[in-house]
Amino acid sequence: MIWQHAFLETRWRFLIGLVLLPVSAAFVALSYPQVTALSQSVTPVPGTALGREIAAAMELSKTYDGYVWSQWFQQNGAQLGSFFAAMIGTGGLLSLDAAARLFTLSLPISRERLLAARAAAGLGQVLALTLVPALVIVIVSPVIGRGFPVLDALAYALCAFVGCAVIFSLAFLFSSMFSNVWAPVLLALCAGAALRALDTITGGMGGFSLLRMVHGESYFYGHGLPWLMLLISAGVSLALLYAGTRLIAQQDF
Amino acid sequence: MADAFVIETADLRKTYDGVEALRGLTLAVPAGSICGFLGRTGAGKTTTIKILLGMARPTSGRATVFGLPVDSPAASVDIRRRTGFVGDDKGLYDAMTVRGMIRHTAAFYPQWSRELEEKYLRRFELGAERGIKTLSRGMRTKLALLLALCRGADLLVLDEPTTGLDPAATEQVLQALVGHAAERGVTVFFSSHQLADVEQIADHVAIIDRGRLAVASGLDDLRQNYRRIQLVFDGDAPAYTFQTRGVERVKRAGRVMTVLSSAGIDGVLGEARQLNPVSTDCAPVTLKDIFLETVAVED
Repeated sequence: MIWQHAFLETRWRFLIGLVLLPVSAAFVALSYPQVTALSQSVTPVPGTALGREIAAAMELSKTYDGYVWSQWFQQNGAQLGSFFAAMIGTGGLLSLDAAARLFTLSLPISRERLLAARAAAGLGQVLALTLVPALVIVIVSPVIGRGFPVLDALAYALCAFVGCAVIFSLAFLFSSMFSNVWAPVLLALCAGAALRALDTITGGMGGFSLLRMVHGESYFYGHGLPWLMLLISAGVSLALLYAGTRLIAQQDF
Repeated sequence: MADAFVIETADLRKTYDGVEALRGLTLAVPAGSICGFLGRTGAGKTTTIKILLGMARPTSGRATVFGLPVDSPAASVDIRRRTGFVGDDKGLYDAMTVRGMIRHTAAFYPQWSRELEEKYLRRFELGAERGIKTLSRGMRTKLALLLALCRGADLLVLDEPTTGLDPAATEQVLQALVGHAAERGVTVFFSSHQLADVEQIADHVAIIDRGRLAVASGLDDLRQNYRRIQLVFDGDAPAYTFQTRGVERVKRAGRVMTVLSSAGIDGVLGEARQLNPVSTDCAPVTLKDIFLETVAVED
């Protein structure tokens, strides 16, 4: 029953994401013929940052795999996934009104179990939001006469899930500090944006780039899955979830 | 139940940001009793209840429920498994229906009684498919009480259960409570501002004042032993400290000295004779009198 309650709390955010992300992913995949046609009429201005980006995008779009990776897994999917991960991570005990909170705390269940159920339910939702769009791409690609390997989709989905889990865990931790539901979303997204900025400025911090891991960049360029970063990110997520749980467990209500 | 007391606290203290909510509360609630927990707003009633149910941790002191320490997280889960709680705001999940709320709560209690559930749904006229959000305060209270009664609890802890209810709803809630306690032999510990409610259903009373226990007794003993003794003197009433056991409060106003005794009148009258009062008058006191005398604001 605690699972059901944890699911119910975020069901609308999750269901909106579960419609929006797969539809967006399908749209990206099905737009490939139009994008290739359009790209033939575009000449990027050389020597400018924008020109270089357009040229890089056009280069990647020469293959369907490159197009899908750059447009979905590297951009829209990662951004939307992060946003919904933060939305699902916010809420919980502190955001309930005081009376409902006391009712919850009066039930014969430890706060740790209560929060573990919320974390597990939330991570399950984040997994669905990263996995389903990836599989939708696999399913809709034949409609335009293309194919996208299931294994690749699963690999990118794994990277996206682990990265979004960090954002989810940040929002979860901030939810243990603020009763307002929006503050954790904003703080988690700001932390994500700060990591992105740091990554851009430092040029990726060697092999330890959360952003590149979320995108599955090393997998795309044939270097396999970034196992070390995946493990580090999973460890960071667990540490954040643990910290959030301890904060709630020690609070007086 | 083997233990003589279901709830016991000893020198229980709780400080919130430097403010002492409890200042050495020592309390014992007998098993099988209906104990009214009285006190002014801010006296520490809700804090005590929160500590007993593991929602807040004591700063120091000891508290047990069913002999289990309330500050142990594992024991606290066991305590809550055997306890029905109704909070003062009647906390429920607004997104659920009455039926959904019942199913949700029932899932945590293996001894949940479907028979009682149906009985109270009918008796309280709670529409099972109604949304919680649409329920009046009275209906919310009844649903919260249903959730507390049907779980097969050994102890019911209720924080201001009748606040904000009309007289008819109050009567219905109190009758359900008394009937359930009598049938099942559960212990009821309820805080209230409604002295009439306490007098109607409680057999024990505990009065808390500024974080400390001021009075704890069986209600019958209280009625029998508490007396107000008025002594009138020729001149101004003398400043005198009684040595007799049970003198709770002494007030002087002009020629009149009023003594509140919790141990009958004999001792006070015997000692008062040496003061040579011109007249004495003894009268029983009500719970309201005792409450007001006990928690009187000292200006």
